Amino acid sequence: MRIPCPFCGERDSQEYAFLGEAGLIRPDPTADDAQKQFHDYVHIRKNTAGITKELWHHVHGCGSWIVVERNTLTHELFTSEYVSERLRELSK
Amino acid sequence: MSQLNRLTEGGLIDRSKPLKFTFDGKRFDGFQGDTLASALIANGVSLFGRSFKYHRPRGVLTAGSEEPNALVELRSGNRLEPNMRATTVELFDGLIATSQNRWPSLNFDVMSINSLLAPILTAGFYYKTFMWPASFWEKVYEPAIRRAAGLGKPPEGFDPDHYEKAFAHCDVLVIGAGPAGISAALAAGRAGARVILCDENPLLGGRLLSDMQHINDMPALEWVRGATIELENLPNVKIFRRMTVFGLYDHGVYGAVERVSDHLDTPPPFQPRQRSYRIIAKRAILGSGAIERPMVFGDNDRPGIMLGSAIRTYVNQFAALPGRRAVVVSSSNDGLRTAEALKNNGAEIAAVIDSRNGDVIQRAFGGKRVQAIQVRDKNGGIRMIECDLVSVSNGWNPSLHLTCHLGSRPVWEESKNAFIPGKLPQGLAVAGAAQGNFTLQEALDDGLRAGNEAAELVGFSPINFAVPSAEPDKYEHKPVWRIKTSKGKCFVDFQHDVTDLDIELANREGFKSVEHMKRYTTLGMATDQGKTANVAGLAILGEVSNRSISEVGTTIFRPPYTPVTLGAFAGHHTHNEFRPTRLTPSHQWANERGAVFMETGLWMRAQYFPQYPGENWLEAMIREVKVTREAVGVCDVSTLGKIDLQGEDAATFLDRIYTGTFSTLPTGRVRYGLMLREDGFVFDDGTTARMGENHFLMTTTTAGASKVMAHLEFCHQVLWPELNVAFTSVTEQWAQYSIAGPNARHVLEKLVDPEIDISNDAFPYMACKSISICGGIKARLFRISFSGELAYEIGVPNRYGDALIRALMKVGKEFGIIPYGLEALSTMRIEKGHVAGGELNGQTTPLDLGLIKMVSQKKDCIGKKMSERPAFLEPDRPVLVGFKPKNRTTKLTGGAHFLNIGAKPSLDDDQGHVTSTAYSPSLNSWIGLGLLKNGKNRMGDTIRSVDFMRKTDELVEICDPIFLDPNGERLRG
Amino acid sequence: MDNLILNPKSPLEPYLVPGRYGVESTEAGVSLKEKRDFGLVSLTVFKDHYEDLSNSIFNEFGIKLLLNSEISRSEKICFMNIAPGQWLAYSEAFSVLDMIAKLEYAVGKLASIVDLSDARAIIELSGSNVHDALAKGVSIDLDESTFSTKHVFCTFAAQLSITFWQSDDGLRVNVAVFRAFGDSLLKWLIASASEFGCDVKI
Repeated sequence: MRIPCPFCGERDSQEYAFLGEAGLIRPDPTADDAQKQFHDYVHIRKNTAGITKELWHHVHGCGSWIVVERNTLTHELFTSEYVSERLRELSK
Repeated sequence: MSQLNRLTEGGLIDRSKPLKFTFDGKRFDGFQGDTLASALIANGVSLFGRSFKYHRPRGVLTAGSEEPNALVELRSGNRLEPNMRATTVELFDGLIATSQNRWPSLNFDVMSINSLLAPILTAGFYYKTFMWPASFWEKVYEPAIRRAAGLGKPPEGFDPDHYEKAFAHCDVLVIGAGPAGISAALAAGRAGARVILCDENPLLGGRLLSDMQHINDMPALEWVRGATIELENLPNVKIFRRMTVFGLYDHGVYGAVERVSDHLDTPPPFQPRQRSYRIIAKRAILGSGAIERPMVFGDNDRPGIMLGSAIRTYVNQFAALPGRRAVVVSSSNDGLRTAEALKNNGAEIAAVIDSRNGDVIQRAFGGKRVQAIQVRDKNGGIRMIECDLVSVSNGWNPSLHLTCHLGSRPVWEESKNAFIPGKLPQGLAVAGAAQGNFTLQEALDDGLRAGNEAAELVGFSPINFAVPSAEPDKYEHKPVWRIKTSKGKCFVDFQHDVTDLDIELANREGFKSVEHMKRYTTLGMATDQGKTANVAGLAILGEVSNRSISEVGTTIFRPPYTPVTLGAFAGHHTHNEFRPTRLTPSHQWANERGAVFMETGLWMRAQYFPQYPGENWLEAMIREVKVTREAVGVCDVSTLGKIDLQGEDAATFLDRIYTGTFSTLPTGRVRYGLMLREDGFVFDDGTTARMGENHFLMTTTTAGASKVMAHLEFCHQVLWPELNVAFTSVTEQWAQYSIAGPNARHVLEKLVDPEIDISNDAFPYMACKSISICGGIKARLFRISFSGELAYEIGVPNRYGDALIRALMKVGKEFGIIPYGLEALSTMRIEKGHVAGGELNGQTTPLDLGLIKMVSQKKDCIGKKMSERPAFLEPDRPVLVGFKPKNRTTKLTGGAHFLNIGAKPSLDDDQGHVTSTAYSPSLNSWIGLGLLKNGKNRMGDTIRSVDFMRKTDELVEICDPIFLDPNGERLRG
Repeated sequence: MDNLILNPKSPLEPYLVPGRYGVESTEAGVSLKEKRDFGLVSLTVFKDHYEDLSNSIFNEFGIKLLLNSEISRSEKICFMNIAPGQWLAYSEAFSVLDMIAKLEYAVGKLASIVDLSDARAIIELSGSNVHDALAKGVSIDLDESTFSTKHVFCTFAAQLSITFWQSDDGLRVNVAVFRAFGDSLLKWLIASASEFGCDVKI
C-alpha cells in the first residue's frame, strides 16, 4: 500500500506503523465508571468493514501521527491528515 | 542425425550460433534463440517428463509460461532449479537439464504402476485413507508420501549467485509487448509520458512472433522491429525484456521480476541472477494476451498432443517441426490455421477435424508418443487416424490474472465464450486479447486507445497518428468442453493429474461450489495455477450440476503469476545482511580483545571476554562478576535507549508517562522510572535524569528504545498536543559505559578534569552532572547501578567512544579493571533482584513485580487505572520471587514451571514459572527469579521447578529476590 | 590525569576500506565517501514560538526557515525541515561547538537544541549512476524530473531509516543513517553500486 503523509507525500507502507481506530478519547480517570470506560478504550473497537478513520505513525519518515480515511475492504484511500491541530499549524 | 526435425530455413533462431546441451545425460544440438523445448522438439524428442500422480508419460503441450507438463530440473549442483518449464528456458551453451518425477529413468518409471491404482487414487483419496492404524502415520505413511509427493527436488547447498531488488516509477506501465502492448507504449511514449514496457519473453512481439500476419501491408515482424527501434530511442520509454509482472497490488504498485542472467551460463561479473522490482505506476495497461484452451477427451495427455497456437510457434518462430503426420482438431476458425503452417513446412496433414460441425476427437492412442486418434463424426461413425502429432484448439482464455489480484471476479462473456475482466482495479486498463478482443486489429486499436487515454490521464497530450491496419479477421468459436463418449482418462488439469471423473466425484460428494471443487480435486492448484485447466473444469462442473458457466463462476488468482525464486525477494538481504547490524562504539576494541558477541535485536553486544583461548561463557562470566564485585569492571551500555526531553511541560509530560513523579526530581538527580501500557501491564523501565529545570534525559531498555519513542510521540501528538515539550532520540549521540565495583570512583578520578568533584558527598548515589574529562571533552556522569556495586555511567559524544574504552582500560589497570559482557551484567542484576526482559514480558503489572511503591497514588499516569483491575489484585496471581535449588550444585533452567510437591503436571496445578536464572559467583549456587502464585506468603517453602522438555524436576526454596546486599550499602559508598 | 588524549573516530573509520569496488573496466558510475567533518543539530520549536524562531534564525544566519520538508541554505549552513516544527541544521563550515553556541545564543529559549553530530554516519555519493544505485532500496521517485534538490527526505531503504538530501547543484547526494548502522549502509551502497563501478574514497 502507499499511504499519503500530509508532510512527506505519498509513501510506501513500509515507512509506517499502524495503530488502529482513530478518534478514541482517553477517559477521565476520576469518573465513577472509569474502570469500565478504560476497559472499552483499551479493548473495544468497532472493526468496521468499510470506510474507517485510522491512526498511522510515519515512524520511518517525519514521525507524524496521522489519521487516514481508508476503506478496509478495498484499501481505497480518501483523506490523510495530521492527528493534531498543532502539527497542522506547524506546516502551513 | 542431430536436429532431424529442424526446418532448413525460417524461424527467428540464430543459425550462426550453434549450441550444445544435455537432457537426461544425452547430448543434443540447438541454436541461439531456441528454448529447451524447441531445441528438443527439433531433435525429435517427445517425452519430457512423468505426471504428478499417475506417472504417465508427458510431452510439451504449449510454447509458453502456461506449460503444465514439461517441467525439468535445470542446471546442477548449487544452481539446481526444479520445476522449470522447458518452454521458457532459454538455451545456452552447456545447458544441463534433467527430467523429474521418475525413477529410475524417464523411459522406464517404476511409479507408473500408479496408473493401475487409479481407481483408488481419485480426487481427495488422502481424506479417506492413511488413517488406520493410527501408529502407521508417523512411521509409514508420512515418509512414503513425502518421498512420492512433489515434482522436482531443491538443491542442497547455498546459491552462489546474488540477487537484487529495486524500485521503478513511471506514468504508464505497459504489461506485455504484443501488438496491443506495443501500440499502447507507442501512443503513451509519443505523448511524452514516462513509460515502462515489459514482456516475459526475450523478444517483443507476442503472438506476432508465431502467426504470419501483416500490419500496414508488411510482415508484422517488420512493424515490430520498427516500433522497437522507435521506443528504444525515446528517452522517456524504458523496455524490460525477460520481465514478468507477477502481481498487482494496492495503489498502483506492481511486483515484477527481471531474469537478468538466467539465459547465461553464469551471471556476468557484478550482475545479479535476477532482480525483483516494485513498480509504482500512475496508470497501467494490461496487454498480456490470451492462452489457448486444450480439449478434454480420452487420453488427451499423450506426448505429441499440443495446442495449435504452440505448434505454430514452434514451426514459425523456432523452425522446429513437432511431428510429420498431423491431425488438426479445432473448435475455432483460428485453430485451423495450424494446418496451413504445418503443410507449408513439410508435414503431412492426415485430417482436419472442425468440431463446429459436430465431428469430435474421442480418444488418443500411444504410450510415449501419440500414434493414432479416434474420431467420432456427427452421425456417430467412428474412425481411426494414424498420426504422430495432434493439434488441438478450443478457443482462448484472456490472461486476466492480474485483474483478480485485488479480489475482482472475472465475468463470463457468452458472445466470446470466455471470462473477461470484471471490475478493474484503480488505474488499470486492459487491451486486446486480455479482454477478449482476439483479433489483431482489435489489439492494435485497443492498445492505441488505452495508451492515449493513459497519457491524457497523467497530464500529457496524445499525438494523433493513424492506427496501424491488419488484415480483416473475425473470431468464430464454439467450445467443446468435453467429449462425453470418450473412453480412457480425460485430463482437465495436466499438472495435477485431475480428470473429468474427479470433477464428477467432487460434485457427487457435495463439493459443488467452484471453490470447493478446486480444493477437493486440486484442479488449478499446481505451479501453473491451472492456466490451461480452470475454465474447462468449471464448465464440466456446470454440466454435471446443471448450471451455466456464469452460474458456476470462476475461482480467481493470487500473485505470483508464475513462480518467483525466493532469492529475488531477498535481494541483498541474505546471510549476514539479512538484517542490518548495529555496532556499539566499543565494537572494534572488543573484537581486538577477542570478545564473543551475541545478537540483541539488531545490536551485536559483547557476551563475554575470554581471557584465554577456550575459556567458556560460564568460566568467563564467573571471573567477570567476581573481579567487578571485588575490584572494578567496565561494560558498554550504549545500546540502551536515550531520549532528550526539553520544554516547559517536560516534567508534566513525564509525570503522565511514568508511574512515579518526576516534576519533584531536583536538577542533578536521577530517578528510576517505570512505564506502563495503557492496559496496565509494565511496558518498559529505565532511569531519567534531570539535567536542568526543563531538561531531562530518559533512558529505556535496549529492546524498548524505539517502542518507547513511538509511545512518547503518540502521547504527545495524539493525547496531549497542548503540552509544550520536545523530544529527540540521542541513543546514537552518546557512547555510554558502566563502571562498577569498589574501585569505580578511583578509576573515574583519573579521567575527570581536575575541577570536577566526584567525591561521595559532592556526587552521591543517584546524582547526575555534565562534566568534562581528558582535558575538556564534554561528558555526562550518572551515579546509577544495575549491578548493585558502587557504580557510574559515563557518556561521551560517540566519536570518543572508542578512545574512552581504551582510556578506561588504561587508567583502570592499576585498580584491576576488566571488561564485562552481557552474561556478567545479567548475573549481577539477577543477584540484586532487578527486573529485566524475562520479567518485563508484557504480562506483568507493578504489583506482580514488587514495584507497587513506584506507583504514585497522587496522580494518574498511562496505565494506572487498568493496573488496578480486580483480576490484578487476586491473591493467587503469580508475583516475583527469588529461589535457590535445595541442592547447591543443581543447575536451574529458565522457563521451567513451578509445581507443588506431589502435584500432577497440569495447567490447573501450575504455580508459575521461572523468568531468569544465573549461576551466582557471589553465592556459589544457581539462583533464579520467577513468578509464583501467592509468592509473598511462601518465603522459605520448598517446591518443584520442572521442565519436561529438558527433563528436569528439581526441589527449590523460595526466597527474597534480592540475594545480595539487601540494604544497598555498596551502592552508597 | 596525565595527558590522556581522546582521539575522535568517525562512524565508518574502522570499516571503510578505500578502493574500487565492482566493475573496473569503465569509469566509476558511483563515487562514495564518508563525511567526517560536520555539525548536525536538531531544532524542535517550542509551542507557539515559530514566528520568533524564524526571525531569530534569519537574524543570526540570514536564512529563512522553510516548511514542508524544504531546505534553506546559505554558504555555511543549511536548515532542513524534517518534520512539522523540526529542523536539522547541517554545516561543514562551523565546528560543532561553534554551531551549538550560535544556535543557543540565537534560539536557546525558543527551541530544543540537541547535538546529533555524533549520532549519524553520513555518506556522500556522486556520479552518473547514483540514482540507479539508490533506486535499489529507496522507494521514492529519483527521476531527474521529480527528485527535488529543495527537499530533504526521510524514508526507509534497505531496512534502514535514512535521511537524504542533494547538494544545491544536484551533483551530490548525502545519505545519513544512525551511526551504529553505518557499516550496514556502506555495505548495501557498495553492493548496489558494484554493477556500475564504485570508487570508495577517504
